[in-house]
Amino acid sequence: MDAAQQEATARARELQRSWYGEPLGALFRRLIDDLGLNQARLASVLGLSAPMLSQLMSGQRAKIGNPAVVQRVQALQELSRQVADGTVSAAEAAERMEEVKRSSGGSVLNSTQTTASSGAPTVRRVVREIQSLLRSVAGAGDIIEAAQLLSPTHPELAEFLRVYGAGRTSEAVAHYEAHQS
Amino acid sequence: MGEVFAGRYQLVDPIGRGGAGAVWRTWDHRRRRYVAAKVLQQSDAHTLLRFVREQALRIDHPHVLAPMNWAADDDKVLFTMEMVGGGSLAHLIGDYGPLPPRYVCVLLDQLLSALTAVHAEGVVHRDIKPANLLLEATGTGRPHLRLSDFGIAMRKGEPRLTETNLVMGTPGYFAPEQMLGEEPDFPADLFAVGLVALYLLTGRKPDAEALVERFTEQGVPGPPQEVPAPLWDVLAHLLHPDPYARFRTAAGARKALAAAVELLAEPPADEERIEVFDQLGPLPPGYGPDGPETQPVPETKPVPEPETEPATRPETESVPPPPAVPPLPPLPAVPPPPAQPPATRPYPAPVRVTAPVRVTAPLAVLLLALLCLAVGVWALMAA
Repeated sequence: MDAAQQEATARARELQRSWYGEPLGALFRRLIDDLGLNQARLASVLGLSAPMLSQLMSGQRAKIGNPAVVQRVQALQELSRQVADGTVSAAEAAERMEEVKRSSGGSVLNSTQTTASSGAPTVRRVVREIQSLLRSVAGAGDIIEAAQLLSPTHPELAEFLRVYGAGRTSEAVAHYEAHQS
Repeated sequence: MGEVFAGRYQLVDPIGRGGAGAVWRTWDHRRRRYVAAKVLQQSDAHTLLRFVREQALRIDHPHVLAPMNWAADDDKVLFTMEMVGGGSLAHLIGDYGPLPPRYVCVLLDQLLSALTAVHAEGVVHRDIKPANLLLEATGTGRPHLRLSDFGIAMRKGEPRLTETNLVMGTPGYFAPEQMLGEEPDFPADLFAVGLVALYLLTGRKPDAEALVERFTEQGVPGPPQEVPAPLWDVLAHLLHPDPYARFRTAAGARKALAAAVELLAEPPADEERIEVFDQLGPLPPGYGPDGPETQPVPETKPVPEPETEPATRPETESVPPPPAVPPLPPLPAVPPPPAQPPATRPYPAPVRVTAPVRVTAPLAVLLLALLCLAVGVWALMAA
């Protein structure tokens, strides 16, 4: 590799740091470790081709062109956090990765018209947002502790905290649906 | 190491999956080059018939990927095509998202020129979609599209093979009249081109149903955000739900597209460079650019040395002198004594084989030959 190429790679890594928080080589390698993937499987979940993934990781290319892929990267980062703090089991993580893989940027006509979608995915999405909001405020351990403090006086609030802050997604969905109507 | 098929084609590794079977990177021992082979595990007569019809289609055009040859063996049939290494348009969108309008226009122009040739043969493709539009691995150069997979193509006016035509084609890239079960016609392919164009410009799978609805309710809608107005004029003309309000020919659409390109804005200076990668990956061990790395030994030498080159492949064939079952002995070019199987080498000089079919041709081959003949007659009558 000559000096010009090295310089271009360094610049690409710098750009990646400013766009994605860190160079994509490091970011993707951590996802691979945390989620028990390999490079080919990560490429397939993200919807990238293997050569593209490798160019991004090595800094030959700076930008992820496809916005849907950026969204999938974010979803996987979130998922790996949840796996790390134990709120998502390995089996559930595999299932969630399949969902991430299938997720797309939405329909072409989105900009001008919203299509009515079926209820189930929406509930799941709302639940996930509540979960991630709670978890961005406090860790699972803190939330459980707070729930224990609250449970004698405000059992329903305590349950809410426990279910969305430290429970499984399926449990939270059930809770949401039970309280929806 | 791959098997040799019908004495000529050595299957190397699977590189994709088409409608009716897997596609393998394959070494052609006669032509001494790599080809792509679509392999059909023999199944029902209907699938076989589709396969035969597909292989019967020979269209020579730089943007059409048509079958070159076919061969049959005991339990399988295959046909070969040129190798195309750059993946499909679906790969390209996965990697880059929405493509720049000028780049899209180059691809559409090539697709329409391919369709002009296909339609000139009286053939309706019926399955135009991103996954069937392959790319040569041209890197950062000008892209080169190849229209492939004629598995459900039909000659116009030809009797249909099935009554279940409704399930033919890919949901999402269907023209509305195709959904209604009308006779296949060229404008249906043009509608699909319009959807492919939307997919390339927006990076998302278009919602054909919603689109048709909007056309029906409010006439020609305004352009989606990502589509420049001059280009939308062409696309709307491809996407009209009424086939009679669409372009009638691919050539006509191509001409309108060329005019629209003139009106497009100059691309921004910082536009991302699109590179069409080689998606095939390296050859597996034991294969080089010139085919399998075990050299055919001179015929005077009965037993091959375990190779002088280092680290060929971890093979055991050379160890036991008379292997009980030689892996797939194809037609030997130089007939060995019949009692003695061509045991010394796994692939006895298949390069010179002239007849691809064994004398003890199984039923499949006969059936296939008959079908080919029938399709030929059809084609003649249709022409």
